[in-house]
Formats: sequence, structure tokens, C-alpha cells
Amino acid sequence: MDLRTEHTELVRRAIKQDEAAFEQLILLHSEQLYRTAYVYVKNEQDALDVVQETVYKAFISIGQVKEPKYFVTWLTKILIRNCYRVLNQQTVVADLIEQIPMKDSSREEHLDLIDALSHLRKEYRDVLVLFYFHDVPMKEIASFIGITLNTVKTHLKRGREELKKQLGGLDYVEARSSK
Amino acid sequence: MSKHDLQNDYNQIPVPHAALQERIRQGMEQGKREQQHKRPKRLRRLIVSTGLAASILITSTFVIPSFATAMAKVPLLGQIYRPFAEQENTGTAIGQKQLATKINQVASDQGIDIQVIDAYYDGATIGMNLIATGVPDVKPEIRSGLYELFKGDQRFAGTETKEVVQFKQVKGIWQARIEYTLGEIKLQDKIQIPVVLTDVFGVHGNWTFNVPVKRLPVTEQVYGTTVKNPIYRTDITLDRLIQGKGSTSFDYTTRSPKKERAHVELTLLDQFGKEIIRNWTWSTQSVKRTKTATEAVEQSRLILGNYVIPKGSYLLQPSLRIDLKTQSIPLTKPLPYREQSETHPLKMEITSIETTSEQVVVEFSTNSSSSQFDTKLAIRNSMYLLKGTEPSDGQDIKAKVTVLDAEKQTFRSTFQLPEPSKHTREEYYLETGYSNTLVNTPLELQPIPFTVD
Repeated sequence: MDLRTEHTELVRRAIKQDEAAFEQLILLHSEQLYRTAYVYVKNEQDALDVVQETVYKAFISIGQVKEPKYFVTWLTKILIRNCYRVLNQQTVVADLIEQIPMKDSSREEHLDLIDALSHLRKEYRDVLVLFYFHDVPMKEIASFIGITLNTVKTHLKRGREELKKQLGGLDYVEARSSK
Repeated sequence: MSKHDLQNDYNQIPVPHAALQERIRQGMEQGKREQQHKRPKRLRRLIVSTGLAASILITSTFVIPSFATAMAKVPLLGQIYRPFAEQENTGTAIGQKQLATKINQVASDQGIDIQVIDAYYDGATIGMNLIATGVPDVKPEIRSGLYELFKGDQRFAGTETKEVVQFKQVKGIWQARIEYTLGEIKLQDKIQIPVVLTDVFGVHGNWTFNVPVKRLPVTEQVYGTTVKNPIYRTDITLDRLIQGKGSTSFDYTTRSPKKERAHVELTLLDQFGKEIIRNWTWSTQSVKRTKTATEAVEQSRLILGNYVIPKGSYLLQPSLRIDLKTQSIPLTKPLPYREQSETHPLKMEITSIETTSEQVVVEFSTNSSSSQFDTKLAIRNSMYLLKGTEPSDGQDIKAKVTVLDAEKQTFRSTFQLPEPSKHTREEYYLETGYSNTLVNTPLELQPIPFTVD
């Protein structure tokens, strides 16, 4: 059985309330879920909160997944919505900012990317995250967000341009390789 | 800028593996608990009094929404089922009681007409029903719309007023319901709500409305009743009850030590302590969170949609969950090493850490009152050995747990290293699941009594 077939089989079993299959699926995607949450909320505790809430919501509503091939998109959709929920709370609770753990230098390397993404328009950021980090095909992104394929392409193009500007107007590859 | 470069940066975001796995487990546990609440535990008792016909239906292992909704219409059974059916949806009750204000606003764009047919403002909930015509034939996953409420109203800046609304076809008509729960912002009883839909059925456009709503008669009772728990250093105040025509909301404030993230869940009990409604996560809204030098103060609102609390005496049972940061423990840490929260009675003490080139053996004790099996499982799933220094750059290693003394609750965790190491103590560190065990061990506080007049 190849990996894709195995994944599809796991989703099918999870839809039928097989807890072990569900757990295996979540573990398979766990790093991706955490990293995407971190890109949005920018601190470990909130990112973990988002993942936990996503797992909980996915667990109780896995039966809603009609086509196993859309599982990743469906799961990411839940995750992103939870991220926005947390972000809104962060805005209300201004003093949460002081909790953002940015002490260790290993994390500072990623701040430019994360900060740049967080300054993008929501529409661009969602499309970039789905396309670049979750490998969701453009057609599926269009269905997921409820926009046309052309709009997805435009958002990707403008998002990339914005990201370049945010990263200092330099070509990103050059900037990274010169570090 | 290539996909590869972005992904490289993304993949370098460090992942706290142990904490992540634990949170996944907690998320699943939360889901299982949720489903258990929906299982007809209490219904089995009803079988005796409601006869065979009901019993055949009730033996289903799940209370699926359509079944629950159908049962809610059955006298007697309905009384029990109502809290479980469509609990969030205030609009269900408002629709049944025909209390929504009729509206006839239509907006057209891209060949799609959206009509707001009615709206309501009940307790702390605002809602409206929409119908759509001229809808293209689209896949189920894009039978939805993006909407924004209160656009341009600065009072709502930073709050979540954008959401997705799902359309459903009922008797050939595409229908949708928008429902929004107000936080701390107080509105007048008669207001106009700006509503903008942008992406509907996969079509980008603009459907703008200005929906007039009038608040339905509402009863507010102010309590200010505080239960204090000096041991857990947490106070919970029931501030007030907002009783609408289709919903009941409770406002409450939690004060807890700043260092410890406290989550409070409320369960509604009758005056004799029998459970009426258990709080579900999505029913509670964090309205405002502030901090002083020593304490965190959180104002929350528990909304019970489609439930109007009758007159009488009740209790609200708070459960407190304390969430501490996961601790990383170097294997060179002086022993004994203790972990204990400022307030939670659970504690853990590591008495010995032995290392060889092939394994790490940790001996420790807890004062957990859980069964050995539960404790062993919790330890196995929550104490990890990791390679490197924080943040982890390797896979976490699970332990084999043995019970040394069941009475004294002492255990031994043995971690087998993936490859021999000459510097085990320096190359590895431990992460304990003490904080996760705490959050999974809720503390029941004193119930808050209140009366609905």
C-alpha cells in the first residue's frame, strides 16, 4: 500500500470513529499543525492551545468529512479559524504580548518570516500558508476559502510581493543565503 | 523567493514534541468527554417510564442532532433532551416562538440575490436568517458565505465579527442563519447592524445590508455572589444572569494567581445537585482578560442557547483547571527535584536519575489518587526524554513505566536510548507531564447558589 493510499485508508477509518486511526492521522500532521499555528499566533503556549482546540473540534466532527482527499484542507481550515480566534483574544488582552517567549536565539531566525506573514492581509496570508506550508492545490484553496481560482492566483502573487517588501525589499533567496 | 526557501524557514520553527503530543491527547480526551455527554447515559433510566417505542430509539449509542431535535418535540422526553439539542442556537427557540422581526432587505450582485428575512436580538445574542436565490450549482464545500458584522464600528475593532455562514437547501430554498454573541460591548435596545457578505457560493461580490433589530424583552439578575477557595487561591464571582426569550447567559469573573493559567468550566445543577447542563467549551466566551501584579482576572460568559432557565433555585458548579508551563529538567539537576503548583495539591518528586550509555532510569513519586493504571498511563504519555537542549532537536523517547511501591505511589521510568551515548547526562534532558496532569485533574470548587425569580 503506498503512502497516499494508506493516508486515505486512515481517513476513512477515522471518519468511521476509529480513534486509533484519528490519532495516527493527527500525529502525522502534528508538526505542520503546530508550525502553522505558531506562524499565526507567534508564541508556543497559544500555538499549543490552538492545536489542542483543533484536535478537539476535529475529533467531534470528523464525520463531516465527505471525501478523504479533503481531510488536510478541512483540518487546516479548523486550525486557521482557531488561530484567528486566539489572535482576536490577543488583541483584547494587550498584556498577553509580554508572554511571547522570544528569548532563545534559535527562534529569532524565524521571526522575519513570521513577522512578515503576520503583517500581510489576511486573505494573502491564508492563501500563502495553505499553498506553501500545507501543499494544498490552488483549486482546493479556492473551494476552501470560497473564492475563484484566479483570485487565489492573484492573492498568491500579491502575497509574495508583499512578503518581499516586508522582508526588506531584497530578494528573499539572496537575503537568506547571505546570512 | 521560492516555495523551497519559505518551507525551509517554516520547517525550522522548533516543535515542542512532548508538549505537542500531550496537547493532542488532551484534545482527543476533550472530544471523548464531549461525546460521552451526548451518550444517552441518563436516557436509559427513562426507558422504564416511556415504554418500548422510545427504548428502541434510545438504544442508539449516539445522540445525533436530528434525532435529538426530533426527540425534543416529544413531551416528557423533550424536557430532558432540550439542553442537548442545538444547544448553541438561540435562533431555534426564537424561530419556534415566532419572535424574530420580519425584514425584507434584498441585495443583488453577480446574479445572486441575498435576502435578510428576519432578525432577532435576544439576551446577548444577535441573529438573522437569510435566503439566497440565483445560486450556481456548486460543490457542497463552497455552499457557504463570508460575512462581517458591524463593519466600520470601532467598538468592535479587534473582536471576531467575520465568520463563515453555511447555506442549506430546505424545500428547494437556500437558507442560512448568522448568529453572533456580544462580548462586553453594550448596545442600545434598538440598533441597525451593518452586515456585509463578500464571498457567497464561491462567487466574489458584495451584498450589503443595514439590518434593524430590536432587543426582545430581557430579564437581568445581578448577583455578585463570590465563592472563595483560599487553598486554590481562586475566587469565582457569579456576576449576573441574562435571560432572553430563547437563551440564558451567565456572566462570571475568575480571579486566580497570575502565574497559573486557570480555566473554569461551569455545570448547571438543580438545587439538589443533580446535573442539568454541563458546560461545553464552545458555549463559553472569554469576554475580557486583565492582569494585575499578582492576579489574572478573567470575565467570561456562558451562553446556553435554545434554553430558558425556569424560575427556581439552582447551583453552578465550577471546575478549575490549572495550566502550567511544561518544565524541562536537565539530567544533571540536583535531586530530589520537586514540582508543585502554588495551588494545586498534586505534586511530583524525582528522587533518582541513573544514566548509562544505553538508558536513563528515573525514579519518582506522586501523590495522585488515580489508579495505578491511570497514573502509569499518564506518566508514559507525559514524561519524555529528549535529546539536545531546549528547544528539542530530536524525537522524544517514551518510557517503560514500572510501579515500585503502589502504596507510596513510587514509579520507575526506563528510557532506552536510540543509540549508545558517552555523554548521556549532557546530551539528554527530561520533560515531565506534571503540568499536563494538572490540567487534566480538574478541581471541583464550592458550588455557587442562585435563584431565578
